[in-house]
Amino acid sequence: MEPSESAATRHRSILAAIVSIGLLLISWQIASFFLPEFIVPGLQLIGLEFVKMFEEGTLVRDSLLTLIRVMLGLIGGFVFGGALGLLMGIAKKSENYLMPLINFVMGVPALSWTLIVILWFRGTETRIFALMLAVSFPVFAHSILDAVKGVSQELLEMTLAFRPTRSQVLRLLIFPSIVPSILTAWKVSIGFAVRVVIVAELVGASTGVGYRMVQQQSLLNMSGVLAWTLILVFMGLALQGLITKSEQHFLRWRPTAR
Amino acid sequence: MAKIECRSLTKVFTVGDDRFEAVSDLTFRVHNGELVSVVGRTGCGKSSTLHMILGLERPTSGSVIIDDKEPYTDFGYFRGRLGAVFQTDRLLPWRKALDNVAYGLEILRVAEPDRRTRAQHWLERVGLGGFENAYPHQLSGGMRQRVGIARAFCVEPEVVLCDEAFGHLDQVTATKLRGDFLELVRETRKTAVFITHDIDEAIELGNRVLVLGKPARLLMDLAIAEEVKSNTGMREELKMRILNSIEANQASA
Repeated sequence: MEPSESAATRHRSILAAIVSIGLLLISWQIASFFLPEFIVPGLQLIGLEFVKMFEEGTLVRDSLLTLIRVMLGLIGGFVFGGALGLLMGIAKKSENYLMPLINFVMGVPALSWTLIVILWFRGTETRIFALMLAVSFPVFAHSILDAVKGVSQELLEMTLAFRPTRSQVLRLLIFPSIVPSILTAWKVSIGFAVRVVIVAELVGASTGVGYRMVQQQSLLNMSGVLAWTLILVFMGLALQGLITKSEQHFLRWRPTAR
Repeated sequence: MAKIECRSLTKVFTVGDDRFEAVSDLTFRVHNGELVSVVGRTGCGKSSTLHMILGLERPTSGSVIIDDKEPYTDFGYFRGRLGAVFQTDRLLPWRKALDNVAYGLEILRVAEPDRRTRAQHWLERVGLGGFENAYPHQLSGGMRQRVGIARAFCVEPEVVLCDEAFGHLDQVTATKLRGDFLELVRETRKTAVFITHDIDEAIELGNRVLVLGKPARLLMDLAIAEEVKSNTGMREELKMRILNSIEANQASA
């Protein structure tokens, strides 16, 4: 009974989403009849833009490039930040030394980092990777530290009664305990990373979605700007959807996750 | 021969400038194969005592000796030698019932086919055959505690320590589980220490009852004959003696 009930609720919420997005599109289309093309272009123009982008080959190439930049940067930030978080969580004294530095890095605005990495590094990819790393690792470090601190003391005592090695404690207790926090950190970081990578591409790249957007803007081609924007929105949503899917897999032991 | 020996065991916690004595000069012995209940009011340092026996806390002074070794200092020696059943089930929520039972064996690096067979055996032994693939949240409180018991026995420890293991359950479930647990401990001839605040439970489980005052120090050390357990009158009388001694200790404090 319950699954069908939850399925019904899900159908209803999907329907609601279709209705609200549909209304937005219709109002947009109506507005496009009254306003100039470089302010509110009709949906058909945006559609044509996608066709053009696809034929030029930029649609797939630049989207993929931006996607790879986001993922590489996040993986770097996750590995580095995760290692720091784990270290601080296990060797308690290291937190006092590392946390001020991490908080300092976190306090630097993404835009400042963009300018800094342009001055520090040469190649486009190096610059973007450094930027993504700098903005994402503090988030991972913080959330993984909190997660390690949150590992149940009771479960730790139970585990220690069997006399495990240090690596067994990590593998059998700590890692599985922090999986939910890792997934949440990824969800938060993906949305953030997509926004930051665009800024970097706007300023310092000659490829990628951000660069294409600037190009379209300088041509006063609103449909082009919007088409690339939609790609970013879908990219962010798709990545977050991917995390949600993996949550259902990794957290299937949870009573709530379904 | 003494299996477990506490010698002048003392635990002092300091919070800021406050000194709080949880366990005070506690001395007792548990012999091989004995079932000893430790009873006292809540907050009288029973759990600290258990933690020190398990080697999770260092005694402030005095010592715990099991097999001529100290559980805290000779931490590694006790690999697989101690089984603990706690107040709450302490199951890993991401592991299915069978994998929770096998947890200790995994830590002892027992290889897979053997591990599974042994875990299966103990899961069936506690009456949960058929629930191998259930996650803890799908089981009732009593069933979860059974999984916890199977996990403790699965490594075939020499000593079983039990901390208020039935306190969280409703009376019917607790009574049934207590009976099954006692049977299991007797059949497997373990040396066992049961920590509890429930005098009836202490009398039912132990063939000796240690009564603790507050802070944990020994008030009484009573041998419990089998006939006391079955004779209501004798049991009630013993219960009154224990109660009186705890109350007298409380009044003098």
